[in-house]
Amino acid sequence: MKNRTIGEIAAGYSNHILLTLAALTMILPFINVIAISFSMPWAVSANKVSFWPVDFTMESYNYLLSKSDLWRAMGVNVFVTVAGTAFSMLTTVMLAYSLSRPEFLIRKPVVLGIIFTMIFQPPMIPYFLTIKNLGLLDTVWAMIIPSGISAFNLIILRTFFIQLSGEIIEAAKIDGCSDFRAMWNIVMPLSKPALATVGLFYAVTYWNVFYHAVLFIRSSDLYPLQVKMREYISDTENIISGINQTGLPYNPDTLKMAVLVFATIPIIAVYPFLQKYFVHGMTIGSVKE
Amino acid sequence: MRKRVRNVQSVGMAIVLLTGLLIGCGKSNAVNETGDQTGEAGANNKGEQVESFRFLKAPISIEIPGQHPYYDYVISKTGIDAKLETFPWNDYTQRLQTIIASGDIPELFRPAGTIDQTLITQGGALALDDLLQEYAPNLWKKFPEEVWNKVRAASDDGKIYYIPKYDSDMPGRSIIMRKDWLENVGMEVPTTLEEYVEVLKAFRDKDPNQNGQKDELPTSGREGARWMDSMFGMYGVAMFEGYPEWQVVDGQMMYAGITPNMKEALAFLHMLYKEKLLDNETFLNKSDTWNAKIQSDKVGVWFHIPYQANTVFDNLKKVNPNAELIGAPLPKVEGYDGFISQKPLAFIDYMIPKAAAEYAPTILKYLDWWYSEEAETFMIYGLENDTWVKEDGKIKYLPEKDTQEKMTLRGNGTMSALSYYDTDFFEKTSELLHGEFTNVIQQMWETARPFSRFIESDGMPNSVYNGFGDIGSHKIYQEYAAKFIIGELPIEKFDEYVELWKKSGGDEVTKKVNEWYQKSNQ
Amino acid sequence: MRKHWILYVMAFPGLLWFLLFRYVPVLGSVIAFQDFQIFNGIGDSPWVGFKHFEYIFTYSNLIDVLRNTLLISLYQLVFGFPAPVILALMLNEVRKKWFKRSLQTLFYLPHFISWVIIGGIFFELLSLDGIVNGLVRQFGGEPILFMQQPEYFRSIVVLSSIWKEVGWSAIIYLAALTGINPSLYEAATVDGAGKWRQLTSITLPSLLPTIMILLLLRIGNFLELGFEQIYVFLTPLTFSVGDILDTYVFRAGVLEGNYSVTTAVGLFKSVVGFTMLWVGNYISRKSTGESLY
Repeated sequence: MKNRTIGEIAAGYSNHILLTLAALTMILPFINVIAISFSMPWAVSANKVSFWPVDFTMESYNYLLSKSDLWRAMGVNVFVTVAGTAFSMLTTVMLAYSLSRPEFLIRKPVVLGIIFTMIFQPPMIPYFLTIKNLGLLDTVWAMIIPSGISAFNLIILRTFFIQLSGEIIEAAKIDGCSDFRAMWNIVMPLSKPALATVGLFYAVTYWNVFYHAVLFIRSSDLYPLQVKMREYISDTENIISGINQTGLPYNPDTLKMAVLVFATIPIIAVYPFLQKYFVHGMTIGSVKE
Repeated sequence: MRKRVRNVQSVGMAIVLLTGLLIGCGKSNAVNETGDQTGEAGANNKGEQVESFRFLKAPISIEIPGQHPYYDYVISKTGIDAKLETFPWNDYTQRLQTIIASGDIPELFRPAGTIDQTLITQGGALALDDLLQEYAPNLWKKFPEEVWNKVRAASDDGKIYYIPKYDSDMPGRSIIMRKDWLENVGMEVPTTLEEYVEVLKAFRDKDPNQNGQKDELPTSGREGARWMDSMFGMYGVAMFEGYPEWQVVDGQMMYAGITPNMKEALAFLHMLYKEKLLDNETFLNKSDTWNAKIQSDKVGVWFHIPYQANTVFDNLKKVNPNAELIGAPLPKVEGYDGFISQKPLAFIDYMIPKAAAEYAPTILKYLDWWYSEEAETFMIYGLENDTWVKEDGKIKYLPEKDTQEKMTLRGNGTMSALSYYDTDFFEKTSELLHGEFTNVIQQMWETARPFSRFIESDGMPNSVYNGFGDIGSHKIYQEYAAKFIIGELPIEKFDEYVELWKKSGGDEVTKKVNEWYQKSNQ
Repeated sequence: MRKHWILYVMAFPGLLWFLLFRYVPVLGSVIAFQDFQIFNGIGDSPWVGFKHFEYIFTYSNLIDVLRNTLLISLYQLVFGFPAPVILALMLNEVRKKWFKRSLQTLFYLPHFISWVIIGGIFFELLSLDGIVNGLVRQFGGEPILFMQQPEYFRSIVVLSSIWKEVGWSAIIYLAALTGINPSLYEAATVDGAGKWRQLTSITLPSLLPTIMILLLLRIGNFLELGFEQIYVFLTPLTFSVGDILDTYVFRAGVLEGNYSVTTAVGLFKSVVGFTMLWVGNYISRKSTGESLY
């Protein structure tokens, strides 16, 4: 292990350098977004802001935070994300586990049928009418249940489950575990990285809920952040085009960026916490084979 | 065997039930649902009977207050409570479509996209011909007969299905020039094509923004050769916000994108492009990049809406305190009858769905009130003894008492249901809104007015393009105009482009446009 | 079957969900065979057979549109698909935990920025005064209007989408990498296998199932390029190389509010995608033994 060749050492260094450079290009746009959100509208309109605020101001944030219904929308987001992720994980894990077991005799047609839904998407109006007729329209559940299972996440999870050695499960079952117990006590603990990945995907989808909110939600009490914030922006656009608002310390551009920062930082922050589940040797190494 | 039959039956039942989920509802329950939600006559706090209806429109302020003295005022005057609803403008069309699909349309709404034609052709709109004359006489009389004829021409059966928005004689768009740049290069506002080109050259060469760098863009346009209407208009081409319209050539309606005048205009723009008098990034400028160039003191001449120029002016002042703007006349091109296109009927204001027919008298009475004198005073100045007082029988406006919220709420769009605007109205509001910049805006209007002309295709429904997306989206025109201007294709190929346009559905659309034109001028 | 009844119970909620929320509404695709009238609903709209499909397939520029769609999709597949695998492998070689985690987090940031904003950034970078043309000038070249030159369009589209999504897509592979038994590497080191050998004989084979599954799913969505990105990047001067099925249907269906046409195009894309996936899966099963179903 210690005697690495010169080539390997060089490769190691260039790997680090390449990754660092690439990562820098990833963060610069975000810095630009943050800088704009803290700048005065005139500087933004004249395209003068790059990586540091010009004519620093917090007014865009003050405007957002002055909105009384903002925290309500944040609450909707948190509820939709937590409840939605729980609901999705539960249904997805159970289905994925069943589909990973050879004893589940109809698994082939079912998987094919699920993949079918990934490719054949429902058209908007029929989708809307279905949700309406199920009585979900304009309820918080319309943002949760219709996006309940992502076929993509399901297939991913199933693939991970299949890769777990079948013997582990067989052994567990001989010990008298039922399928449910095998899933709960053996498969899930061994699949933490996969569960973390799929959970993250679900959480991000729920947090960014937009299409379903625009389509299914009418009462502004139930609007999630993304929709609520777009209302504020759209409002400012109307005011600015219709009325003399030249003295205003924010404009639709600065607001858009403030909204982006405000609405994405919470969900971006989730990932670093999940990363502790991405640890080597946690799975198979921990079980005696 | 029997068991199997029963299985098949139950599967069949399940399928029927599930399909029911898909199509279960539609127009049939429209009446029931609306009936449940509103419409019953309620009583206001004085105990008088107040009729009410749902009124959906956008783009208006999203946060409509639930209670406001303004509502009470309008209810006290009309006896009608219009319950405002709105959605963000970006999703408005989609929302409206789902509302129609679910049979839950408000009693009065503003269509968007192609929804007006959808409802007219699918039989969902209420014909207003007789109702308007009976219940909204002021509104009816305010619009000239030609306007109603155009509205009639937008439907197959020649009935009136909507109330249009009508900007009667406002010269909405104008050439805007940097007055300080003209002074810095020692030139006058140009009036002919030759002078115009000379000014552009001076802007290019003589450092008019005085920063020591050759960073000036004498004039600039936007992606798709948009917002350069004046340079097409000089050659007598009907352009509106960068989209070719239709104009009468030899007695027939012709797409402005294929006229011989268009060829001349493109040749001229190619010259400007080659000489770097036209921003060479014109075809990449999105609206914010274009605005950024103007507001960062780089552009000398552009074409836009004076009513919104105050924002540009204000931002520009922060970058260059000496910046001044001036409206310029349309340069005269020898041998051409130049003009700036005006579309007073660019938008459709209101429709009533057939399902809400019983509300029509109430709704029309409500709309009609907005054409009264007291309504105009209310829209512009607010309530007496709040934001204005009477002095010697005249209105004295109290700007210090007025607020942004009040202006937005009563004004042009949110509560106001006015659809007919004239210059007088805009001048009055401009005085309230534009502060120190009012004079410049009025100067721009005055300068543009002699050149402004109503174009023949004004009020034409978009459905003439149905089935010909490449014509309707102006894709072919935009692609070729860009190639001619940057010189990728020589202008001699113009006729080939015209042929292609005609072959791609242009001929069919031309026929439909001419049919419409005949109908609208009967 | 009776012995494993619990598997069926566990699967039931998920299957019911697919039935109610995917299969029922997807039946609404029949509007592709109607002149769908939103006001009258599916029940009362007239049936027109294959009219809308004929309309699409007789479009004079269809060949160009299909060629652009296929080429961009192919480039996305050839260059875009391996990128997250490579990134995951590179990140896997970083030993310091905090460094690796910070890199991972940075790489996944652009996923959260919309194409409109990213498009703006690319237009800016590639403008006449942008950084790239600054470099071109530095080396004595003439500045280039990259965004309106057809020859750069597809590269810009592919590069920008790799840049935006590579970190996000790498997450799955990073998760898959954790599943590899470390004792395999220890054994290989004892045997004197270098890093490269370990990569080709341990890491890649272990990742293969995940790679194949994702590849097949990607192939199933071959004609789905993401309208938003292309719409942001496309200008009239790049129509000849960038006009794809989605932008065509935007003009032909969406702008007119014609749901039947948009649904017909959607069905066409789905049928092509499903066929490709089926063929791809067949080939994969024969060659690598990996199969989606």
